[in-house]
Amino acid sequence: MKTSKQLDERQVLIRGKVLWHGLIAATVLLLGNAFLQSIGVVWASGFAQNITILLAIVTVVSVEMIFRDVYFGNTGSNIAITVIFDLMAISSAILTIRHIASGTLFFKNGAFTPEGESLPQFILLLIIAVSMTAKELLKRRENEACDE
Amino acid sequence: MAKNLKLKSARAAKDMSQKQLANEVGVARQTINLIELGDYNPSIRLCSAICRVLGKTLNDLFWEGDDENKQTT
Repeated sequence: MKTSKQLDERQVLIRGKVLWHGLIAATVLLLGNAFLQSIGVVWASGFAQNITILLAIVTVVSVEMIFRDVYFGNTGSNIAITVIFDLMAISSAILTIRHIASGTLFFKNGAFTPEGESLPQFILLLIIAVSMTAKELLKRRENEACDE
Repeated sequence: MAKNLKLKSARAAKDMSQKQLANEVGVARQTINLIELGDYNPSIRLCSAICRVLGKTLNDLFWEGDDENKQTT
């Protein structure tokens, strides 16, 4: 059973599976990055690499949780969180477009430039925001169909 | 797993939506939907909570055998 903020028994099981997938994603991404470094491929600075890998793992887990309906409990705060993520993604997109318009190079000689290092993070953030919005719309349609 | 039409009809008889039943038993609407579709096997605790809200017994809603088996249990 769940209280107002908790997940129910089915959602808890799903969350466990999703976190397991996150662990697999973390392992693959870290090993992949270590392999790239061992063969001399440096695609970004150390800090940007770590942040991007971390955000990629968060994105994998978040998107799966969102679409399997276990990201939010029954708090009713889905819309507020979705709007916050959407605003972050929109502001990131605006910054990226401004960089593109000013002719900034994002990628050079097989690696992200200092200005371009934040680009993958923007894209990952955008993926989470779009997933949240899409799921919110899908959920409304499902609820409407269910009420009919 | 087969669809749980007994649960669906008991809910309809009480004129409850999936969301209302879900709120009463403290689960997500999707969980009730999946139980009705036969895609989720609920715990005995959740089954009994649903039965309590709908005023039915576990046999009424969740027993899948024929009537003869039902009487022997």
